[in-house]
Amino acid sequence: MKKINQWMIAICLLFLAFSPTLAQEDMLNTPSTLTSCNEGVDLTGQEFQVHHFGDFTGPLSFITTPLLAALEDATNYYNSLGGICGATITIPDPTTIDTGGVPSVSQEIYNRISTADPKPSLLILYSSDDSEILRERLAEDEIPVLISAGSIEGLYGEDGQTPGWIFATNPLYVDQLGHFCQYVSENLEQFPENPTIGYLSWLGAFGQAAYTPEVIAYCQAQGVGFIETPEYWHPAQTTDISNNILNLVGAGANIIYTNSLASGPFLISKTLALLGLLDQVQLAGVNWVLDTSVALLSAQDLAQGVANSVGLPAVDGMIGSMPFYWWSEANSQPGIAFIQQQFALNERPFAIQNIAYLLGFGIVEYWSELMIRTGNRVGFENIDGVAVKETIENTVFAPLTGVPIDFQGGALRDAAPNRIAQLRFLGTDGGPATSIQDLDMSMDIPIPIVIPLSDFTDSPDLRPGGADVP
Amino acid sequence: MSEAIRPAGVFDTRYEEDIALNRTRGEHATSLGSFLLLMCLPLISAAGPLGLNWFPLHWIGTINHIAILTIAVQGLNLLIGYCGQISFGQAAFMAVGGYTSALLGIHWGIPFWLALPLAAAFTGFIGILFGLPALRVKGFYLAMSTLAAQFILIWFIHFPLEGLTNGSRALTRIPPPTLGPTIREVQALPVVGPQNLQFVAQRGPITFSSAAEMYYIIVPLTVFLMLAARNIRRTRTGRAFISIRDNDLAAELLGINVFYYKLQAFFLCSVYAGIAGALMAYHQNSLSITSFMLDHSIIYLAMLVIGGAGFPLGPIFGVTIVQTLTIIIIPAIAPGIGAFLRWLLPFVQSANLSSALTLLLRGGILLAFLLFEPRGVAHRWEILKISWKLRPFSHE
Repeated sequence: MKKINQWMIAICLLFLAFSPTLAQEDMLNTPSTLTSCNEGVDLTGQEFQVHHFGDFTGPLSFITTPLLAALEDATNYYNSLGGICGATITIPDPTTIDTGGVPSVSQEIYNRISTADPKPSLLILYSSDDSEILRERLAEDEIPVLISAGSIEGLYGEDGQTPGWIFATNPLYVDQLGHFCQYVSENLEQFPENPTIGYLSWLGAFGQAAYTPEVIAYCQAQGVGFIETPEYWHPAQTTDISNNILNLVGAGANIIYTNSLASGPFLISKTLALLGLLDQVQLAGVNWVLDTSVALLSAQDLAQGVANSVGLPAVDGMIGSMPFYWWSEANSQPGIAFIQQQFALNERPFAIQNIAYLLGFGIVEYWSELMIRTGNRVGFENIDGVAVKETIENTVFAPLTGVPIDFQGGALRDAAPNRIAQLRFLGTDGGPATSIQDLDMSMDIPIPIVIPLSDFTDSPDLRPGGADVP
Repeated sequence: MSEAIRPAGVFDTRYEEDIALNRTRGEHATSLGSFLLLMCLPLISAAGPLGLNWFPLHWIGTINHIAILTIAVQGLNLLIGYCGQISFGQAAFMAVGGYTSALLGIHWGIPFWLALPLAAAFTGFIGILFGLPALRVKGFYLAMSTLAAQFILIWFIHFPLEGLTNGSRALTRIPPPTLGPTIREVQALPVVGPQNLQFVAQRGPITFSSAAEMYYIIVPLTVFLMLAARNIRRTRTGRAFISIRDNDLAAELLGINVFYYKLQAFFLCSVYAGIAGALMAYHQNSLSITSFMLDHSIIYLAMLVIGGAGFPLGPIFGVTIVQTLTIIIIPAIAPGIGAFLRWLLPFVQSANLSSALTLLLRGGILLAFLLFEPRGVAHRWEILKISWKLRPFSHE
């Protein structure tokens, strides 16, 4: 008996010893294409901090919470590959960098970070408000910033023609709205007759970023009507937007376009459903509307009877910009397949399988590439904001083989590829559900999917004086 | 109050001695030394002329922020702690001061030194308007009327004045204060609302643009306003405030014009808020109405309650404690508590926990303060001071 026990223990130990190897064989090869460090460079023992701050407890927290998870998972992964030439990538504790969406707190945190020794050579921000407030300070302090998307004022100044130190990896919000108008004009059959856009968004730099005279003129030139009086609501204080919607619909809007996220598009769709207007009005918006958070909020409301005419969540069919690849494109995109695998390995919940997690993983790879390229060029001890800005301007890089980021040598405007997509829910046949009976409920909730409606093309340039302004 | 109690063996023989803020040489030396030390902090930071890095530079900005909030909360202290009225609109009054001074500087090129008193006076006038209901209502009803001030003022800044204030977007390009002859550069502002406004840039020989430079405006002004608030309490006005706070009917029977003094309290409270708002605008070089919403008014009230309403030092204690909690203590203990909670609640996502932790800890700590020190930290400080002054014959 004793001998059998010894054998059993030996077999178990052997299994344990080899199990990591077996597991690794199942893992995908990393699609990372990070540049190699210069020969002989070994920064082991040093640290590179991903400097960032943002709204983790305010209206943007639906996005920033998954983003934090992605930053954590991505830094762990890249550190396991050796970090930045042996140096460890670290991220600050989120409790020290939460702005709560309050600009004065952003200022205070920026003051703290920008006066640190050594001064950060690159910042990651999330809020259009922050980018507008800090634009001049960043230029004075010579600290470049990466941001997902932004407003004209934040990125190109009040004249719309002066690039600063903030670099957006996705198209400007005005350009996204212009791209949507272009799509409407080319696919009129998908929209109500005489398509007319009513603009309904959050108050603040983000919500108001896409509404400009130039974008109205562009949409009208495309044959898409535009209600010239926009409607806004406060994300943290307003819960009833019936009047805003009735004002727009009363003025003739049959498409409602929103620059809001998570609870924003959800509230619009819910109100449209409760007002019985969902069949008359097409809901559309910025890239953030095509998100898991929006879909799950809407799916939760099914129990309260808030649904479209076929019983699906009210946001079903919402159209928006999608300037990146989505979770469902793992078959054609090795980067997405890889992120999916990392998501599963880290046992992240389905609720945060959204845009921000994808962008967060990509931004850590892009950040790492910028650091390595800058270090290779000027020496790792000489990395500063000016050097990193030069690298950003002269680097064409596709994080995790996704959509390439190209700031065209510091040219007036960055390249801005974009496509239009639609939010649907998974049906039992693997395609989009067409009725409530057809919903795939294998996860006990309706599963959101995003279906691209067009290929990637360059967005129109709708900054004041932009090339595509009529 | 501890200032009425002299150290053992010190006796007042003249009226000047009785009213002096610093009665003994030791107190004089301590006050002067503290002020000089405060003034030296930027000099021994990385921004100083000697390039010493003894005092972290980022703390200069934090001290500025604490000082600005202290002024705003001191205004509330005059209204609530001294006069017994209430206001839920302090943040909105700050917004009035901030936007007034910023617009005067941006669009009309009025120098900061004039914009600041103008903004303070205008905010005081607005404060009087919203203080008028104090004649007829008090308690919860007055609280509701000041709540209206919070919403109406922010709405006004937001919508009717959007062309000037930029609405819910940040108002940027606020020119830094300058000293000496200024050179004015008029530039067109291409895209700000329907009006074709002009931006007046100012340059001068001494420019207060960095946090370290603004420190020399903000901190002395804060000290001055704190001393002024302390002195107000000892004037006829201050005594009238206190009598109204303690029993307004009795005060009226004693011949005090209750309505006049209530309005004066609202005026002073708003003037302090206006100054704080103006300093915030020029310190940050930008303003956004989201920094002046109702939750900020409530936080300022919480700061006053924690610090101690009715005590001159209450606002300093309240603001410093809340800000220190937010900036230092919570970030320092959060990782440890976060790790413990992650172990205790493995089913909660760590990212979700991180984002909620600051709010949870801040709420918990503030609750503990209210439970165990309901009269505020300043009250405890007064007891300590009295014990020290009466040593070795402490009353306890």
